Amino acid sequence: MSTPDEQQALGRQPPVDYIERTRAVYSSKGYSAYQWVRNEPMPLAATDRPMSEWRVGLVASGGIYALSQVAFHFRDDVSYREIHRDTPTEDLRITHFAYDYADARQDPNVVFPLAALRGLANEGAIGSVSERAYTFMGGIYSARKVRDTLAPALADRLAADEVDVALMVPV
Amino acid sequence: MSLSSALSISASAAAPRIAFLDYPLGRTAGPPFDPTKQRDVTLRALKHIRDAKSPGEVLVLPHRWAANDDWKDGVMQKDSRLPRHDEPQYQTPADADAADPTCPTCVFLTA
Repeated sequence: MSTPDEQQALGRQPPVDYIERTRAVYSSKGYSAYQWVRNEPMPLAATDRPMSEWRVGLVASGGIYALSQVAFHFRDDVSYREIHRDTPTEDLRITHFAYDYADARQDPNVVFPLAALRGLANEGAIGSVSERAYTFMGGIYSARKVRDTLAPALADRLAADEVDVALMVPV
Repeated sequence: MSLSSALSISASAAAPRIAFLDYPLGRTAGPPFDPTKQRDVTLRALKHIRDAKSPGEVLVLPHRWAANDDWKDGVMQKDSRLPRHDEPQYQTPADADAADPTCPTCVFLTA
C-alpha cells in the first residue's frame, strides 16, 4: 500500500463520496438533504458449496430492459424485469434518469455483467448462471418502497431460483 | 455481494460484501467493449463472496479508469438528472413499437 502523499503524486484521489456530493448539489439548489439508507451490518451468510458448483443470481439497478419488454418509468418505479440468461447483449436496453448511460447503451455489460457470467459458467469457474436475472430502475427515492416491496420480492425470486450467491450491481 | 462504484452509499446500506471498482458511475462492471476486464471484475467480485470474512468487507479492485483520477473533479458538479416522467421511457422509439404491453416478464408491484 502506498501513502496518501504517494497516491497524490501518482494522480490518485480517494473514492468519490457520492453521499457528500449529493448533499452539496441538493443544498446548492435549496433542497433538503436526502436521507440515505443506513443499515446495520448483518452476519454473513455463506454457502458450503465450491464456486465451481455455484448457481449465480444477478440483480442490477441500472434500468436494463430487454427488447419487447415495457421500459421503466422515472417516478419511483418499483417494477422489475426478468431477463433470461441467454438474452443476447444486442437485445438489452438502458433507461435511467440519473446516471451517465452513454457507455451502457453502447455495451450493456458495463452495468449488467450477464455475458461475463455466461463466460465464467462456460469455462467452469462457476456452476451456472441462474436462468433469470432481475433488473430494476434504481432511481427510487422512497426507501420504504424498496425496503417493504421491491427488495422482498426480489429476495423471494432469488430464493425460489435456489441461487447459491447473488451478484448485485448498482450504478 | 454488491459490485459498486459508489463506496460510501454501498457501505451506508451495509451490503454484506462489497467489491469496489473505482470507476465513474455507469461502468460498474468494467469498461465498455472490454470483455477480458469485464470477466476479471466479475470473477474477482465472486471470489470475494467466497473469501470475505467479516460483514461489509470491501475488496478494492485494482482496475483504473484512466491514467490519473482527474475525472473525479467533474463528478456531480451540477444536477444533471432528467425529468422524472411516469410513463415508460424507451431507449428508442422503435423499442416502444416492439414492446409487448402484456409483457409476461415484467413484474409490476404495488407499493
